[in-house]
Amino acid sequence: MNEQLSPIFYCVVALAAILSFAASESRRQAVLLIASLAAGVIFYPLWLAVLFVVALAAVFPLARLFETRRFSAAVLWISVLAMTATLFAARSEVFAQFWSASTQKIHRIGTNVSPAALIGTSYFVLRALALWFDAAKGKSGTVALPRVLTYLFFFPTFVSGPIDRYARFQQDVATSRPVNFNTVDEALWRGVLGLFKKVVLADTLIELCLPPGAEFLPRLNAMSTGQTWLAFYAYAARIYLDFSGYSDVAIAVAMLLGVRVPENFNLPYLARNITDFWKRWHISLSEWLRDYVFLPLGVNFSRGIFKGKSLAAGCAAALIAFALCGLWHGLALNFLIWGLMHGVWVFAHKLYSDTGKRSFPGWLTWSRGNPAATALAIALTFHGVAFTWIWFSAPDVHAAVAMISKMLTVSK
Amino acid sequence: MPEPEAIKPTIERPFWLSVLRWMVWLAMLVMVIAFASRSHGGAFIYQNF
Repeated sequence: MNEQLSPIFYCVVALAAILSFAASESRRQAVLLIASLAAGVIFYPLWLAVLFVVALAAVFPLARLFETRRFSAAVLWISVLAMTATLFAARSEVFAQFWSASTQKIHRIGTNVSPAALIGTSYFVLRALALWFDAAKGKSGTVALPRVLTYLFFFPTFVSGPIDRYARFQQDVATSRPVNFNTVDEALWRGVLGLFKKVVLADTLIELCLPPGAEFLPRLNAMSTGQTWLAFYAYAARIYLDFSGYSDVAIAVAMLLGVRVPENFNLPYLARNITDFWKRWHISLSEWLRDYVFLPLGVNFSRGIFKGKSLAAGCAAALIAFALCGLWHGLALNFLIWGLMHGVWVFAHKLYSDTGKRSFPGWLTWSRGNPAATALAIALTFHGVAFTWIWFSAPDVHAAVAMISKMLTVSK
Repeated sequence: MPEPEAIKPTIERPFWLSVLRWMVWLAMLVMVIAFASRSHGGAFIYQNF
């Protein structure tokens, strides 16, 4: 279900924006929470109920416990592992069958509710884990039930981010940020631009891309080499336009409600190298992984099993962070390969950069200032990233290998 | 000391540029409405993750 493309969604946005504008600072929290739950009830009621129970029974009580900082580290890690395991279990085929059977029973008793499962779950889990980690470090500020629920269920960013941090989000909600003409002007532009990217550009590119799932291989077999290369470029353009379009709309809607959520994209295909790419692509996810996986693991490894071997510690931390990034997108081998490719590439770039600074600093300075070298670096980074999208878009490893083979053989 | 916001220079947009900007916005909106009725438009890719 695409709530961002539904007129009802924009009715909820308009009503929430007016009420949020009119409400006192103390009541804005309530307005945003009620609007978020109302949007959930309209678009994904059953799944919202499941996540609401999880928020009440686990996320909030544990965040309160971690806020006190009187807990053993084991409790935090068991909670994090349990939450992560629940996310992966919810993605399994067994759960899909159970959910389908359960919702069919509800349909039989006469209700007309969407059976959509897992809507927003991956992002819900990332927000919950960020809250726990921040609370445990004393960085979250006051943990209160209405605040936690508003943060977890804030409807503009609920389905696919950007992933905000609890303390920063609360600062925006608590601080009076008047929605003036400039804000509305910026939000209207940003929102329509986002919809234009998705509905007009990205959806037009679907025609050139390979379809997902079981139709991928039959269509690939019917394509020529040229058409396969076209599909390769079309998917790279489509995934950027689709996701940055979604993020533009989410940021614009949040802006109308007085919340400045973080940016998610900054012209990623103009990145000069893979490290630069991850500072420009899905920024809120890459920062989440950096802050809560890569840096803590790197520090632990360099003090523990890789003591005195900072390079090995960094390599292991990068590989684990990117492997988790891949598996977060889907519990499948092709997503794991996609993540590991990025992990290896980021580490290789770090090695190149460090060695360059030590051994040939003149070359690095020259290449950074040279327009031709910059253009070549951008083109190489883009093609490398687009190559990894093959593993991301294909339904399995066999299909990804078949696409690469097709691109490398000449056929009409 | 003035607030940072107060000393930030404001760039006034010429009237013709504002008109052009909103015409582009309107054109994009019309295309969004026209294209939204197509049957093959899919869900957002990241909605599945």
